[in-house]
Amino acid sequence: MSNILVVGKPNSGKSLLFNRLTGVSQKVSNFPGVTVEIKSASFRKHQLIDFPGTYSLDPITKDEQIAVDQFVESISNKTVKGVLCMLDSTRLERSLVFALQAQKMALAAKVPVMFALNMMDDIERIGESVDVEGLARDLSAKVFPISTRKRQGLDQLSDALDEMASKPATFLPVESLDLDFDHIAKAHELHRVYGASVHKLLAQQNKLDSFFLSGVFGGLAFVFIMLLLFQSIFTWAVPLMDGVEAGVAWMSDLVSRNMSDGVIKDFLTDAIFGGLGSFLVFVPQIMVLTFIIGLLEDTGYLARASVICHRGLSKVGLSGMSFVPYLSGFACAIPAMMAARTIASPRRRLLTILTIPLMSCSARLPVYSLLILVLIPPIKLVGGILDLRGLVFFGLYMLGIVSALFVSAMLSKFAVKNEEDVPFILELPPYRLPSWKPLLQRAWNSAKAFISKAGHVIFAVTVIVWVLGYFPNGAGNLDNSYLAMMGKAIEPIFAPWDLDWRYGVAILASFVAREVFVGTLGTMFGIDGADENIAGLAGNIQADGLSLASGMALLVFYVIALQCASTLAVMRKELGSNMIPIYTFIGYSLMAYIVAWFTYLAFV
Amino acid sequence: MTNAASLWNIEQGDTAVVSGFVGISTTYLRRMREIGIDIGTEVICLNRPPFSAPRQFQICDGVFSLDKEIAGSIKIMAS
Ligand SMILES: Nc1nc2c(ncn2[C@@H]2O[C@H](COP(=O)(O)OP(=O)(O)OP(=O)(O)O)[C@@H](O)[C@H]2O)c(=O)[nH]1
Ligand SMILES: [Mg+2]
Repeated sequence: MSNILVVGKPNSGKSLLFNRLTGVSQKVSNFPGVTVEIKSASFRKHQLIDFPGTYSLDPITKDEQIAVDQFVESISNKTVKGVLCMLDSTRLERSLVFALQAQKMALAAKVPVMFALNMMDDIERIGESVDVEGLARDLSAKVFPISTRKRQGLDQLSDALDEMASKPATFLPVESLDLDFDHIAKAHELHRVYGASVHKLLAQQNKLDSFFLSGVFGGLAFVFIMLLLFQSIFTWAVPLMDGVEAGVAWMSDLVSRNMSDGVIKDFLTDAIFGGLGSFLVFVPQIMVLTFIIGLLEDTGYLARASVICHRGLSKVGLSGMSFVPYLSGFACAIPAMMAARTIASPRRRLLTILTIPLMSCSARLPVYSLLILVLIPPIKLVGGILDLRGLVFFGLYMLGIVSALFVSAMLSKFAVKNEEDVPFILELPPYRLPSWKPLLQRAWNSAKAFISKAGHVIFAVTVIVWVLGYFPNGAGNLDNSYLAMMGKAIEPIFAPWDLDWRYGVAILASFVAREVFVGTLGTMFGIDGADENIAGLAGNIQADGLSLASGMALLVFYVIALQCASTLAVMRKELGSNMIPIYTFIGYSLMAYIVAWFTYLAFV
Repeated sequence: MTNAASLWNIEQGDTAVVSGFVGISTTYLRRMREIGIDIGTEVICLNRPPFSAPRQFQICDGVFSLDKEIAGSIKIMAS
């Protein structure tokens, strides 16, 4: 086996190149520190390995540590046949500081190195150029000018990589190089002699920054962008959701008309259409959410948002670097916790990881949407620009964020030791126009992941709930079923919020996965109401008479409770502690229960 | 010349020359050199967002945000 390592400065385009050469879809985003794990995939007869970016071989954050440790370990490994060092031609000096260090270490271990000079499209756009031959001569290595984004120069690079990995010895410099140089000074010199002048690019960037980072406008822009994010999840997805709902209803209707009555028909209409179907309605929202987060990541705005938030987040023990993990927490807590590796301070990283579960992840979306449809009337506000449902939805996300800040502040004050702190240093990436195709691809992938989860976990729970709810007495007899027997035993737990046993069962089942709440309720209402699913689950719950106070208590419970085993497992791995996830789980469960109770009392 | 002049004090749009570091650990001193901040380098202050948010500095071909803690420990020559 022959491995080629792809290393370089953060945000230089390593992962995009990796994707182009291997055909996989590793996450690419316009922010330094996106890749936080080593990832490998096959390229022709070889393996290409994508590394987290790092500014030097002396790491200060956990993602850099992973890159450096792995690089140092790999370089002496016999299977490593070459190193591809990514250089960002618009940030040549910064790129070379690391590249020269990496080259030194690789050559000392007799591993050949090749350079890719990326982002040449940007250099060409401002009518500049880089002296590639000169650079190659001074580096005693091949240098390939490329634009990964525009797919320019990739064929030559691929052929050369293939050749290097097949015949590594021929790619080593002929005469032995003087490796005893100061890499920082040499990087400066090489850039001065061969590099392009990037003043025009920086001037463009500064113009936008003086708006997005300015006092009043910067703050307003931040609030506006965040509001748009949440509002759009709710409003933009509506037509698509209506479409899915109509589709499910149509199929359910078709089946119930053409099948003779019996257990099979009941199972299909209750569990499949009623349970899983009511859950699928929310897929469009997941897609819109993923799309919008991706849009923000691509533009380069996230780095600015991190700067704007830094002081505020510092006050509660977090950091501006917590912003990106928090934002990805709206999609899923698992990658979010891993993204926290870019936070240099161990204490701030710990607090970030502990509070990420309070960001409303996409698994809560179906629960929020369903209950909002049931409880909140569609009232238009401010001449139709906003609507009440969108606002309540935004309020739930805000409640999660505020709780996270509160928990972090409390822990930072009373529990987590205040060790020596580390400074905030963040490179501001250029502003870029988003690449639409990968964005749409990502939204589509998120939908697929959501649906495949529906196919496994949620399907299994739905089937169990249906069997327990259907037997021994069949359709329309939910109240005398096995499920009811069990449910009534736990009824007292949720009695203070005036919820009956069916909701109790749905809540407990959703400790397997939050979305199960919707499928479970859908199934139970299906069993009870035969094939009246056409009205939609929201309509059924409304007709059943869920009160505003109980519904709000449920919503608040879902904002806070940590009902996700995978999140706890990743927390355990990231923090290297068995006890912290257990305490966190108990803590959030109690907090959710109590705050929900107060909510009930406030609305009743 | 005041001894207290640091990167944190320079006005938006002004250029300063780094003259030394005070109270930075070796790790961060090294990182400062790696991002291009060394004795004798020119640094431009691009932005000073309000409420003591990290400020933006252009160092050679890069733009970095530095908070008060680190920018305040980078001393500059009076120009
Ligand atoms: N204009 C332009 N943009 C590019 C090019 N290659 C990559 N990008 C963009 O640069 C940004 C960073 O790309 P990534 O592939 O995530 O960079 P990376 O080196 O893997 O970054 P880390 O994982 O953070 O170290 C993305 O917004 C890409 O779309 C290119 O050739 N031209
Ligand atoms: Mg990457």
